[in-house]
Amino acid sequence: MLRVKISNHNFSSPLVLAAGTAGFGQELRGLVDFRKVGALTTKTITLKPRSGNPPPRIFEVDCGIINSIGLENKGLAWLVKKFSSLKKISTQIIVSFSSEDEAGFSIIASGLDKIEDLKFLEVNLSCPNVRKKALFAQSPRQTYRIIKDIRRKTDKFIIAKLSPEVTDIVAVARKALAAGADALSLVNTFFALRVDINTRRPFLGRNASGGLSGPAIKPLALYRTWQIYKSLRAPLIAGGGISNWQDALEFIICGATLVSIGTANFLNPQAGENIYEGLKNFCRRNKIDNIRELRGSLKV
Amino acid sequence: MRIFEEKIVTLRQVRKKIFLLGFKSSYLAPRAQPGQFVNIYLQEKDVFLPRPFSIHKIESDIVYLLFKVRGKATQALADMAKGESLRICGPLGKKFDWLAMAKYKRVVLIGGGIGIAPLSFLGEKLSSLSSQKLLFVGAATKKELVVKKELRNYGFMVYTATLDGSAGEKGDIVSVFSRWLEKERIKGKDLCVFGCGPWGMAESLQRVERTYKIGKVWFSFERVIACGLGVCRGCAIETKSGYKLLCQQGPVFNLDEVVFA
Repeated sequence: MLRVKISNHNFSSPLVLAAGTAGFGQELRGLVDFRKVGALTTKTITLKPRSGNPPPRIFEVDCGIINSIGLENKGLAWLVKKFSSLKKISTQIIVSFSSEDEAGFSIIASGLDKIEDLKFLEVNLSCPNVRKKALFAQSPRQTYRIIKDIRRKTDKFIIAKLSPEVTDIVAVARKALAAGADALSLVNTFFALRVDINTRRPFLGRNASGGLSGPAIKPLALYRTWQIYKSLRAPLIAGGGISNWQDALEFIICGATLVSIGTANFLNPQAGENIYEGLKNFCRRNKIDNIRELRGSLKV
Repeated sequence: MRIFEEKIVTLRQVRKKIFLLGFKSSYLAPRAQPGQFVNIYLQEKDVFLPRPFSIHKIESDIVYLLFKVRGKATQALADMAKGESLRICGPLGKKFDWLAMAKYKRVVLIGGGIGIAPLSFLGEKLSSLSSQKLLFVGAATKKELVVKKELRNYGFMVYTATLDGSAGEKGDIVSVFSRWLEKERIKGKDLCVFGCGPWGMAESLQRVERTYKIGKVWFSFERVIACGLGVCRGCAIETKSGYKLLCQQGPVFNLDEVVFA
């Protein structure tokens, strides 16, 4: 009922745990029933280890959080070594990766290509907390170049993670697909800032801004999902502020093939399971054989 | 560590804005150790992230939290009632190796404000040590000062201070502690300290540690925690050997290692 297929890949449900919100899966062992989750996206890795941004890194706001983690991770070599234990988790594993410079992406892609059991790569072109310059995903041209370079290095399933912080998200999405991306992932967080009025300093560490996630961004993410779906009909892993099954369904109706659960994992590590049960009951009640029947069914 | 639901068996105000909450948990009670904490998932509309609370004490299968109302989440918790259910994740954080304190002649616990919370649990474990045991407790005013009777029973000599002088010595508790070191001509190396309280207190305690060359100081830190599971990497604190996660390598750190911004 909830099974989803993209090209020849099967997912046990349309639910994906978003990068940075489920670690590498092992942290959640015993807490999460991974069989109900279609895929787990790892924390983004980079070529070399990164120590992350100065604390504080998280600030709670109304209906969301602002984070400035700064891609703290142990690097590609660690991931390569670790992967055999990751794949024991009973769901599909998507490895998210990023780089501060364009050239780094294809180097990492070559490294990941050697991991035989790894099928899915998510190219994080849109982390708001690592580059002082514009995000890669803010430039259709750079997006194209990076994805194209990665495509040359690997036949694995490539997912391009887009930023919502653009004038025309469809233009970037189109370029990512033209360069060889198999699917698109959206949205990454929105640039955000909160200020302590007593000290006149930002609440987050030395980097003034961070990325906003959580229910606050849901309508913004839904809008962008629908925009891309109606123009391109591409496989989308979409989310932003999904907290319950109704939210997940909204994204599916707007065209998502898979939906990503992010910040909700912090509020409840079992959010995925709860959403799974909710979606299943909904399909049962409404005599829907498979959730894909609802995909892109927005009536406009 | 697990996520579980338990009913509140006791919830009462003990001082101004300070509440004692107990829940029965046959899972947590035998497993939790001093230094560890739990995340509580509140169902309150305006509260988003779970809130971390250190374990105050454990009596048979009842786990107690001592907390101060600071914002909407703690207010929501204080407004709950006996019999209501709490969603809890724990035990979280690293167990504190309190046996490491045994080799010092004098053991000092210092609590600043609601930083007293984890000291009862630790104090109970330390009660069997033959070392001299001292407790320094400070608060803003007498109304907020919590001196736990049980700590006296565990053999702790108690010193108190308030910022406004309404109880105990006037001043902050770290200054009172450093005056005591001076007055009693205590040799720093014979001493170990476990402190808990706000960041400013940790910073001044670190200065005292270095001035008096105290044998060892551990400090239990507070920070916004999103997941509590090491997943989000959000609760980093800066140490001499890089960033460490409060929820995994802490919340208790060797104070000398911590770098203050």
